[in-house]
Amino acid sequence: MTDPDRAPEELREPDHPSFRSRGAAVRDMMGLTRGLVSAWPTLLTFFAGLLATLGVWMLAETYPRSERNRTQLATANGMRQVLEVRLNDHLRGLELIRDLWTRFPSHEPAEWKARAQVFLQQHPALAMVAMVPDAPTSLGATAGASPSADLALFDDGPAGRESTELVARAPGVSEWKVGRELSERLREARRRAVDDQRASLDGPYLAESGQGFYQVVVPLQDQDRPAGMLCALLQPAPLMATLIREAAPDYFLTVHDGATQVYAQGVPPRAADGEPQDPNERIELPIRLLMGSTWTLGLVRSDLFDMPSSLSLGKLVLAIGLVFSVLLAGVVHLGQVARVRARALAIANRELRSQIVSTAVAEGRVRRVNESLEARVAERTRALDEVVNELETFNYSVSHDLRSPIGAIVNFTSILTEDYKDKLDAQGVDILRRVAGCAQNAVTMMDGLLTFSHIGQQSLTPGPVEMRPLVESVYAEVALAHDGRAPAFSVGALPTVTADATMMRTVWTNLLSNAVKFTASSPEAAIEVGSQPAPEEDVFFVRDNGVGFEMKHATRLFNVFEQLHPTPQSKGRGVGLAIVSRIVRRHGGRVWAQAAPGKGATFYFSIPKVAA
Amino acid sequence: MSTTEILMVEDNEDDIAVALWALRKHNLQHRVEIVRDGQQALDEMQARHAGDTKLILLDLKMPRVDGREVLRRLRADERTRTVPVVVVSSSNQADDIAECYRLGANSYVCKRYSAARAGEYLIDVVHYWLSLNRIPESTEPA
Repeated sequence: MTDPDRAPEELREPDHPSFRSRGAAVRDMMGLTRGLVSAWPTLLTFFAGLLATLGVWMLAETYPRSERNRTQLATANGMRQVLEVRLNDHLRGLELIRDLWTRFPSHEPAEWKARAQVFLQQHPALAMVAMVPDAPTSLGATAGASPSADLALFDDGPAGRESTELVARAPGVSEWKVGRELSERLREARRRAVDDQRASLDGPYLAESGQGFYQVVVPLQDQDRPAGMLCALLQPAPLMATLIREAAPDYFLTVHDGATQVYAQGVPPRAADGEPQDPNERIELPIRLLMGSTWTLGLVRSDLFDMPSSLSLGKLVLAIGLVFSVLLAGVVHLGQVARVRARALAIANRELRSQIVSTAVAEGRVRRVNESLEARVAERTRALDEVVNELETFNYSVSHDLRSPIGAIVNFTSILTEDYKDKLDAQGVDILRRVAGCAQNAVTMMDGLLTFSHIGQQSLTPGPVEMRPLVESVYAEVALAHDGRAPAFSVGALPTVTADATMMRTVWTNLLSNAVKFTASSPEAAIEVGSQPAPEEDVFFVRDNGVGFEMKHATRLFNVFEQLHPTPQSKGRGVGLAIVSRIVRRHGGRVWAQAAPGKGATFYFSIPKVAA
Repeated sequence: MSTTEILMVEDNEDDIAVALWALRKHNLQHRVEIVRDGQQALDEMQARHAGDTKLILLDLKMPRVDGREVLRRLRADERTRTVPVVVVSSSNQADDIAECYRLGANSYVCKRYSAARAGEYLIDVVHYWLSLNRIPESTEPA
């Protein structure tokens, strides 16, 4: 970490206002879009669908009708043409039969009749054809002959000159019964035609036997003079039936002559309730016949296969279109919502991902900072250990290396004192003694420092230590070291502690040594060792009735450096108490003292109880 | 008994001087051989008949091979296994003392610097080991 102090600043990034507002903006946007975005496309789709529906509806309303009308018109035209051609063919054919008589004046009735029979076969709508000339034919035999029963129709023919010889009947056509009144109308029509010298088609008539028919009258001329007529009976309905029955099954078809319906075919359209037949649906075409007659062909589509009006195509289209529009709009709406949500989700995901990344980055930084902190702590600790180690080493080597030469001074001054005392005067001996004393002090001090330093480096080897035997043993040694001077000594009951035995010996040695030393001037020296119970530690004390000291110096007694500059109060105590303090503290205990000048001193130390 | 020898292993000339002074002052008859480091001491012990050396005074802090190593090798060698070795050191540290005894030292003497008793310890030790004690030539039964 090149700049570790910056790391904590960077770590605050997730809490940065801009960071937080970015997330909030995303959430706001999501809410906003859910409310608004999907409305316009949905409405647009709905109206577009509605518009399309209306268009389709209008097409459905108009296109089929025109299409149907066109078909209907074509059908009607075709029929009209067929009927017109075929009917006129019949009428024109009559002129041919007439010409057969007038242009071939042989007037052979049998031949004409034979030809007329063939003609009738070819023109099925004609039921009968008869020649009624004014002049007597060459077949005088026939003239004046009574009309046959077959010609009862014409028995009152003009001028009574009808000849039965010139009558041809279609096969299967038997007698038609015609009432008197109809007979009169027929005659009247014939007369009118002859008078006008114009071919006529009159009718329709209804025979008493039920046949509907027309009477066709073609006047005859002989050298521009009226010369009789040709009569024919036209029965159009069967012909029309054969002609158009198969042609227009979907239509209701009528043929009117004026107001009279001549022919009808198909199923008439149902008149809807209160709904008049649409006049557009009905097509009427004229059938122009020769001889000035015009019939009318009426064609209307049978609604056999039409929809019921309540379920008309237009309404169906409208309904389906409406439903479809709504459905489409719904789909669009859902799609819009899904799209918007997907987008918002994607944004949220991206945001989340970046947050995760940021978090990961932040965590990485935290981890790195922690690691670097740990590394730094470890490094500092190592450095500190090194410093301490160096100090201890320095302390030890200085003490040790100084000790030898100063020890040598001690030794050589003692040799001087022993062997050359008589060669010095009193002052010389005194100086020598002072040199030896100073050197001895220095050696004692260095021994203390060496011990002090050594204790710091030594590893603890804890074990059970019985304090009372130890104290007694140490006191014996100490007393020996002080030339057997023995103050009154008492030891109370002491517990066994868990500690480093060697170090405990050092502690007692120093404390007892001090006690002996500082009671040297007391007339009734007494030293007491005891212990005080405490819950978590064992407290030991060494009490003497020696010179004591002022309490303000109490803490300084345990400081090794204070002892390097001895005050009169602490003079001679050396570093012993500092060593005691160091050992006790290494065991987790504490040291303290109570004293007053001239009233002795009590030194306490505690050793923690080891948890069972 | 002039052949009885003391091998003094000591690199400090002051200490040597004091030791020699003390021996002369007390008029001891033992011949003292002095070497300045551990390697010389080992060489000396290899070169001579082991029986010629009755006592070794061994300093701990020395150049080349230190006192502990010398002690270890002496005790590993059958010929020098029983030769009394008195460690003479300025250290009064308990673990130093304990280690020396563990390595096979017979005594541990802290160099005392006392104005009144310079070199006295040496006289006491020599008396003890060379006059009072009887050391077998070998630990193996005759």
